[in-house]
Amino acid sequence: MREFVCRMNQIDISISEENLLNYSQGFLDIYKNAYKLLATGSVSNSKNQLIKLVTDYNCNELEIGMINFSNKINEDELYTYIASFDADLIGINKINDQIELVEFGTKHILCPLAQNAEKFLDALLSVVQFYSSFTIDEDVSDNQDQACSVAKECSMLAGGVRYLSFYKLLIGCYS
Amino acid sequence: MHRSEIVLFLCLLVSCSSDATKELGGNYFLRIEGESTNEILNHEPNKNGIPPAILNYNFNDSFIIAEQKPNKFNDVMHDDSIEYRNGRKALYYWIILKHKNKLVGPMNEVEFKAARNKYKVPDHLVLKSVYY
Repeated sequence: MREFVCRMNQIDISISEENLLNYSQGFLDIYKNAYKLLATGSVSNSKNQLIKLVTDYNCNELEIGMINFSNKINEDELYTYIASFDADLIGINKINDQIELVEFGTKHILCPLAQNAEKFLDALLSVVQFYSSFTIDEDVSDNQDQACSVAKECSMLAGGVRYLSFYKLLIGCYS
Repeated sequence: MHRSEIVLFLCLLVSCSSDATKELGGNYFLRIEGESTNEILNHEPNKNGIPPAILNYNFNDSFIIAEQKPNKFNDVMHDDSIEYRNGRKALYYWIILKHKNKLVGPMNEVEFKAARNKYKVPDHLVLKSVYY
């Protein structure tokens, strides 16, 4: 988890030269803050790296594609929820530690995201590195070959091909 | 005055005095009061919306997008600290991420395009007139 934080804090954004003057500082800060993680001062005793991340670091601004993290951990009998994906919830399955996308309201499993917290963080880091290889003016899904290749790579980091559909959606691989 | 004329007169009177609102989901709504006062608000107090004047907008389950031409002065119903970098005669763009209650804006056209990419606002969600 510390490596995730350290590498996220090193991520920088790039802008195409032609649009350098078109972006306000406030607008660029949205991009910069989306990857910056500052310690909260709290230290979680949890062994789960995702719970530690959202407890030990301020994740309110952390956005990776359509994933939004929160410092507010919610839980029910089956899941500990640590983030959202659009309207739905990302939860840690309390029985097997798998990270799953759970439909808001019905609590149906929409798809599995990673075998465990560590693998999910590895996959997310790879997603962020892919995003940051583009300028903010570019659409990361324009190059479908590259997007699909990275989605596959992320699914392997997450634990295998069963996680591929989520990373295709996250990155924008439509084939 | 004929009865039909009275009914027509009453209808006109009612339509002049009442605002039209369109629910946009996520507790947001578009209030159509007149060209310089059309705005997007949230039913909950202390949740920011988009100040007047909204010219074009659209929405889906996840996003509200809007094109705005600001009035001469900031509106008391909205965040008073909003700065319009290109002056008040320029057009500005906004995105509301409904599930996060996050308001992104005011943006210029280049920023709006970049933000659409970042938040994956679908291409088919295009701006349309508030009167459409």
